[in-house]
Amino acid sequence: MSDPRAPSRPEPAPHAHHLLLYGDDEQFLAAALPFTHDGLAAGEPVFVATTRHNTALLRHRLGSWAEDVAFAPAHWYRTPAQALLAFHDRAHATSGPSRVLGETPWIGLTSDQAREWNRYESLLTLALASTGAWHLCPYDTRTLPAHVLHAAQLTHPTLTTGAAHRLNPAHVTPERFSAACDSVPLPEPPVGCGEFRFDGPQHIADLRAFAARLARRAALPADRIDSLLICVDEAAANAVRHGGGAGCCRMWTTVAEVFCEISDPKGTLDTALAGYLPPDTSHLDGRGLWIIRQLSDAADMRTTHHGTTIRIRMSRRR
Amino acid sequence: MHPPLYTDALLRIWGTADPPGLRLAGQVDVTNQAALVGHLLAVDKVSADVTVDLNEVTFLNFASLHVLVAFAELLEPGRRLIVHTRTGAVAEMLRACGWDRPEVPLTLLEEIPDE
Repeated sequence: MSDPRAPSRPEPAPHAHHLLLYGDDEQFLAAALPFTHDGLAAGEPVFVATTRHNTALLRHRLGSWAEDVAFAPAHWYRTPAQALLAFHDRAHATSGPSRVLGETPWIGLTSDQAREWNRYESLLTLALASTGAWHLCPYDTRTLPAHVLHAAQLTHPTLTTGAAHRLNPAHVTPERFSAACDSVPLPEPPVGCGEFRFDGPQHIADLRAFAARLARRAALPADRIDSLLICVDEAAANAVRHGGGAGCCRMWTTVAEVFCEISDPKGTLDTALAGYLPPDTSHLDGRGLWIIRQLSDAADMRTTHHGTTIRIRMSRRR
Repeated sequence: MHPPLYTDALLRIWGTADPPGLRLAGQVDVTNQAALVGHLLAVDKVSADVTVDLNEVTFLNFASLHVLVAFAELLEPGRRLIVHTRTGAVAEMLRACGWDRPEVPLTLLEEIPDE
């Protein structure tokens, strides 16, 4: 166990979002143990949201110290947007420094999903910037695909090995990273998908009825339909308020998801950080977009010379 | 029963005296949220907590929830806005915006029917 009196906080402090690449249990523990133990010894709240295996390892090696650690409940990482809010709220509920060992569950994600979790990792740095939270993010080099490990090097401003920390020269600003994520074009909606054109606020109620009908047909649970309708309404109201006033809603389903896309041919939404950051940490008036990201399972927002597109996704799995 | 204070194709709003507040039925969206604001501001909010009954509301847009929160924050110290709802969506929006914190004087009373 490391000396709890040793300076535990690395310099510079503002970038307290660290990457830990580990290839075996010993490498994981060599960093996770001093991180956790030094935090507890300094009286800081410590929160652990990692894999079942790593939780067991850490509990075992911490011994009685583990009693003071808060371990994440099941399903902590439901969507990237909700995980970001949950970590943000924890950090803001704590006055003074706190520590989080947070390991994103990458296994089984599609490439779309992995891209959004990468983006979340990048944005976490901004969401935590004004708090005293120090995040250490372990990545398992044995099991994770190369593209996930590569992105991790771009999204964390600081690198941790054992108890040593150093600035990450490969780090990319969250603004740039998020914009790069959006350079991947969205797949075209399928031919023959449901379509509803609206022109002005008086059509939005009919648009909601259209979306509700298709969502029910896709057997989306009632509470998820309620959430979808709030998202659809907000996206359409956005087009009416800030865009050209007219737009088109397309809806289709896959085995796993219901897609609902609102496009506004005159939209000029700046999408780089749109709706990704909690309203209190963002200087943008992005509450409506924030609610879309929080209430949906995923939302892609793009602005091109064809206008603005907001593609809302709801999982059909419960 | 008193006639509604407001009626359109989507929404009806009634005033309630005891407790002071409003009862709504239908859908609140960008076309009629201004009516909600107007009638909310006309409620007698001096004597007691204010109640907004959304039990018969099938859709409440996000902007209207924002209005309710802003109204709650303008109440006299010690007074609260009590909101009745039958869907989980209101709670979900409150949570997402941090408006479920104890310092926001809004109490949500949910009565969610079983499917």
